[in-house]
Amino acid sequence: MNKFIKNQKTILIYNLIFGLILLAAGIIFSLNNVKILPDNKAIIALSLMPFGVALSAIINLALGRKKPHSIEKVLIRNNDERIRKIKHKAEAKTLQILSWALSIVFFGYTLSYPSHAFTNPIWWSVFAFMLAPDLLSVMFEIFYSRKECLPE
Amino acid sequence: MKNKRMKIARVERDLSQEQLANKVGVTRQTISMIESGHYNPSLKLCLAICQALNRTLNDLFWEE
Repeated sequence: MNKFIKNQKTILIYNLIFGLILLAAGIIFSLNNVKILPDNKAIIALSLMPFGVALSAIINLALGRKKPHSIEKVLIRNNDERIRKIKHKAEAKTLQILSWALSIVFFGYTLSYPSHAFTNPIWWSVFAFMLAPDLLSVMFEIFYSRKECLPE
Repeated sequence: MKNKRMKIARVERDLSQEQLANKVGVTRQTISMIESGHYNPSLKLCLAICQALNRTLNDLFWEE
């Protein structure tokens, strides 16, 4: 429970700082007519994302104080090894399906626009996205197997 | 295969599935599934259950 509160406080502080920086930058750029983006409203709008995360951390902290029992239940559910195993299986399946979908998109795109192959940046982006899940999963496999073999 | 020894040990200590689950940090459903033999717990969870019920691994999980 203490770890949960500490985590939520860290999330709250970092997101508030990040949100305030974005908001201040947006306002200062607007007032001084500095054009980093076509419209500085975008920077102000982006600050809503960290503020939203900070708000959810505040709600979690309030719930933790008012109803510690319900938060404990959520924590147990998140740490239950059986449920985590099911979640990992679901995530692995999702990644596999997304990987297949990206392959189909890549094949479809290359066959539809053969002139884009090796020349168009969009073709390279789709190609990179198609390869990324396989490459990253191999990299993480090596990383985690090395980590598990390291003596403590 | 049902784990009757775990159920008996739990009942002897006068604990409900929910109480044992809270002690070892899992959901009640997980305890229920271990007792009914539908889930194979990790060694870590087996040890936590043994400590909570004050039994050894042999007492609760060893099959002859």
